[in-house]
This record gives sequence, C-alpha cells and structure tokens, in this order.
Amino acid sequence: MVQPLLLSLALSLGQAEPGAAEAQSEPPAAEEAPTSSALAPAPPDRWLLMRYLQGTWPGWLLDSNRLQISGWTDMSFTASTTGQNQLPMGFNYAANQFLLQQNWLRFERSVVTSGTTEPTFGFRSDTILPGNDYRFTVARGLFSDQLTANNGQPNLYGIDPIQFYAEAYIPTIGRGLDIKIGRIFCQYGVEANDAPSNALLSHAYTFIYDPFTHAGIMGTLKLTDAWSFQAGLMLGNDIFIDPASSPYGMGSVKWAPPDGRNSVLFNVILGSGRFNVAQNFHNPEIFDLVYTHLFNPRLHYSFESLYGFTTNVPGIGFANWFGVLNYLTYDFAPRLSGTTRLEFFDDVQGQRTGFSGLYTAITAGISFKPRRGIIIRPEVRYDVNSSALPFENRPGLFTAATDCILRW
Amino acid sequence: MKKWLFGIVVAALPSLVRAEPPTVGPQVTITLQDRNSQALPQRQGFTHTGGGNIDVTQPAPDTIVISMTGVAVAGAHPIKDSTAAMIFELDQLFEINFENPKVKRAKVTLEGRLIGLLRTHPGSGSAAQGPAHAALACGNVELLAIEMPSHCVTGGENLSVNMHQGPAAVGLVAGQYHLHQTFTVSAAHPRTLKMCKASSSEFAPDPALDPLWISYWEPFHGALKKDFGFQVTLKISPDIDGNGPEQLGKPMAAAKRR
Repeated sequence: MVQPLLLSLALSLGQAEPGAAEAQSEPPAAEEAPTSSALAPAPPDRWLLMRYLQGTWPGWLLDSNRLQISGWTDMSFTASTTGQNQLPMGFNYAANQFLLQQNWLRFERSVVTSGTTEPTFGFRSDTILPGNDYRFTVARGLFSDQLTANNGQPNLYGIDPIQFYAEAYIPTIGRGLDIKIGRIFCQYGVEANDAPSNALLSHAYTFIYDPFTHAGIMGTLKLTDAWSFQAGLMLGNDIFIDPASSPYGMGSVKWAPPDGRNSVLFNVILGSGRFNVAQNFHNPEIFDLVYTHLFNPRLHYSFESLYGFTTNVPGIGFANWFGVLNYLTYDFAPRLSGTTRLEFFDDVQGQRTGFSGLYTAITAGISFKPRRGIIIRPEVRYDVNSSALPFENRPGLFTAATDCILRW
Repeated sequence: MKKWLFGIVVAALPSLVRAEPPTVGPQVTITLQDRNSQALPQRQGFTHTGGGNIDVTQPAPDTIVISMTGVAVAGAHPIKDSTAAMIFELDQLFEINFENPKVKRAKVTLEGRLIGLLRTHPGSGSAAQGPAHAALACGNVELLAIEMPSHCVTGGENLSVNMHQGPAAVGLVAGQYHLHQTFTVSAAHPRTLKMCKASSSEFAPDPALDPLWISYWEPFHGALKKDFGFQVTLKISPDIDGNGPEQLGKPMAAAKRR
C-alpha cells in the first residue's frame, strides 16, 4: 500500500501547478534585450590621460571631435659584457646604463573605417619628446642637427617628430582606400618604431640598419578581405625636406585572409639606389618579405627576410646586406607572453654597421603586463659576428636588459 | 499488480480533476483612449540629455504599464553655468469595461517603481530626481495616487535610487477615467576652470547616457540599467466580494478633490 502512495505522490508532484493557468494572464516579462555593448563596435583604447579627462569639458571637446591624446614612457637598463656602448647593437646601445628610450606623445584624430560610406578625415602626430631613440630615427632636415650638437657627437636625449600625417579614408573605393600625407613609418618588417608594438625590448639589426620613416604620400587600398596594396611617392628614406632628398617609390602587397592563421607581406622601397656622395646621404633599395603563421591561439611565428643594396658607396662601390629573422611567441596568459628571436644579418661589405661579416643574434624575453597600462619586458641576448670584432674589440656580446613602458 | 494500477489511477486523478475548460479572457478590461504626453528636454551650457521616452504598453487586456525614462547631465564649463533637465508629463484617458455582466464592481491597483542613479563630482555640481507622481482620476476627483519623494545629491555625493510604492487599490465602476503621471530628472553645474566631472541624473537604460559624459571611474560602474526609469503599472480585476473601497483599506484616505 505504501508503494502506490509513494508513486502517486511522485507523479502528482510532476503535474502542473494549479495556478499555472492564472499565471499566464500575468503581464509577460520583458524579453532580455541585447545590451548596447554587444551591438556597439569595440571602443578604441583609452589610456590614463583620456580616462582622466573623460566627463570633463576638455575631454568632451576631444571625444566629440574623435581626438585623442596619449603616449607612453619607455625606460630601460641593459647589463652588458661591454664597458661603454654596445653599438652596432642599436637603440638600447648604452651598456650598464639607464636610458629613457621613448617619451612618446601621440595626438590623433582617427578616421572612421566602418559603419559609414562617407569619407572621413583625420591626422596623427607622434613625437619622441624626448628620448634617446631619436638618435636612430631622426630624419635629415628635421631636427637632425641634434646628432652633432654635443661637440660633433649626438646628444644623449633628443626630440623627434617621428611621424605626422594627414589622413583620408574613402570607404567606397574597393573595400576602403586610405591616403596619408606627411612623415610616415616605413611599412615593412615585423618590428616597429613605437615601443609597445614590439614583443622584445631590443631591436634586430635588420630593423636598426634599414629605413624607419618616409616623407611623402602613401595610399593603401583594400581590394578584398584578404588582399591589400600600398603605393607611395616619397622624398627618400629617413629624410625630410632637404637638399639630399630624392624621389623614391614604395609599394607593398599583403595577403591576410580573415581567419588570421597566415599572412604574407611583400614590400619594396625603390629609388636611385645610389649613395649621394655630394650630400653624404645613403639611398638604399629595400626588398622585404614577412610571413606570419598562427599555430594555435597561443603560439605564433613570424618570419622576415630582407635584402638591401646601395651603389656608388665611397671606398666600397656596391654594398649589400641580408637579414633573416625568426620570431616565435607563446602567450602563457593574457598578461604574459614569451618571445624568442633568431636573427642572421650579413653586412657583406660592412657598409651598414661598420663591420663586415655575418651577425647572429639570439634573444629570449618575456612581456609582462601587471596592469593594463604597464609593460615590463626583460630579455637576454647574445650577439656574435663571424669575421670582425664589432663589440669593443670582441666578436660577441651578451646582454641582459629590461624595460618598463608606462602608457598614459 | 493491483497495487501498481491503483497507484497509476491515483496519480492520474489530480490531472483529471484539473482538466477544466480553458479560461476565458479577463472579466474586466481596459480600453486605452486619448493620450497627451510630452518629454521636454531643457539644456543650457555644457549639457547632455538622453532618453525622453514615454512608453505606454498594454501587456494584457486588464493591465497597462507606463514608463518614463530619461537622463540629464550638466558639466563644468569654463565660462557658462550649466543646467539640464528632462520633464515628463502624461495624461492618458482609458475606459474600464465589464465583460461579464455579473461583475458590478472592479478593483484597480496602482503600483510604481523608480530606479536610477545620481552622481556628482567633489567640489561642485548637483543632480536631482524630482517627485515622481501618478494619479488615477475621474473627472476632477483624484481617486488613487502614488508619489515617490525627490532626491538630490551635491558636491561629490552619489546615490543609487530604487523605490517602490503600492499596490494601492480602489474599487470602481465601469466608465471613463484618466491617469496623470509626472516625473523630472535634472542636473546643474556652476562654471569653473577646475577639471570637474559632470553631474548626472540617470533614469534610463543604455544607451541614453553616453558613457563619455561621465567619469571613467564613476562609482556605479557595471550597474544593470535595463529597468531604469519611472514605471507605473495599473491593473484591474473584478471585485468579486463586492467590497467597497472602505474594505480595501488604502485608497480612500488618499482620495481627495483635485
């Protein structure tokens, strides 16, 4: 008798509640509307200064005109087996010394690349204000007298308006045509002039001894989701308005399917290719290929190969150089990644670094972001030249360095 | 075997008993008639207003829901005083019908809720939410009302407001009635050269308030805003017991000549 009662009790509990019919006459609960954040495009990064200004009148003036002010301070210390400086390893070249590498100020008005068919206009101004990286990036004809201001030697710290351009974006030509006029970063290679864009603190020879910026006009046309092209007419490499400037062309083709697993970028910089003896100015021709591959969401690989040459170099004639670079990066966590770089750079005649021979450099470092606006990048690096003694009369150089980037 | 059969029969009994004919529609209904409503933004100086919605819905024949949602923000301008407000007013005529001739009297309930945020920056500025008022009237006689008190913050104070009143009830006969509802949000900031953040009175879901108008480090970061605003629910049901308003308790004390 107990079993049937238990069974009936269990089945009764499974029945609809007596009040269910009445409950249906209640006003229906409002459907969960998608939040605005799910529909809106991702907002641009806002760093400390813009966050501080948010909600104030100056902040509103900037935001309502799509203007942003931001920047960062990059400080480094490099422990080294050399005594004074590590050149030809550039940028963090001062051995066993603290360096303020970049104090960067960025003022920009971004163009609108989605959600409109109207052309939009913007600009960007990037200035090293000050920092010792100016020594490598400063363009002739634009504050370049700092390179000889210290009794014929460069000042330790200097300023460099490293990039400034006006920009127009026309979304209805192809999948979007972007035009820039001004001084623009060179578009080739894996590494970049702005410190936060790099995985490692130190730079590769392939980056250090090739052009950093152009001055002129450049167009970028996106033809399909995967293919885009660039073409530009420039005044030369690392030169502004100056008697030594000469017409140069740059071009690139990029294949980057939307899945993001692979991409290829081929870039050329073509001009006279002749060393300007009268003005003592270097006019290289550059051919660069970059391939990237994503093994999985955490492990990615980049390969770069570069060939450059110049003719008519005093005492040398034809000078050429090669670079091959391999980067392997693993993201241990959203705030922690590790990168290794293996570089072979052959300065065949020694025209670029001052010492001929094959440089081999291996670097391992991590990038740690304890807070959103702080990046700490410790690394160890070993460089060796196969046939010369470039590092204070030694063939090899061992460095252990770290830097800290504070974004504001 | 018999025991099991007995068990199944016993188990099926409740559902057999409940298999009544489907319920018909409500015995009393509301028919919406003329409406006169407005949301008036007022802005002077460095200000922002958003929302301004007056939403009247009838989710069921015996229920109407009225929502008023809006935002007012006033910031620190170097040479101008700033004031912003959003003023809401609604007059909604409706008719109460008895679908079942046996029903002689209906019970009307009025329920209100008010949810939102008030923010100011230390030093100056104020943000306020004015009285939120809803009244059911017949002609010039106010039969039933709810009123939520106003709130104001200044000089760095911040306040999250979540109020609920009702249900207040009254017994009525069929006929024409009207609902009058008012609400105001406002913010003010004097001119100053200091880098003060704006004062804001936020009583509307996203995206009425552009987040760039308030501090990045605002005190209510991540608050759910989908229910923000002043919402009044008016519901009617048959007064089966024939109880007059005296038995229902609350309303007649509030009823008064307008």
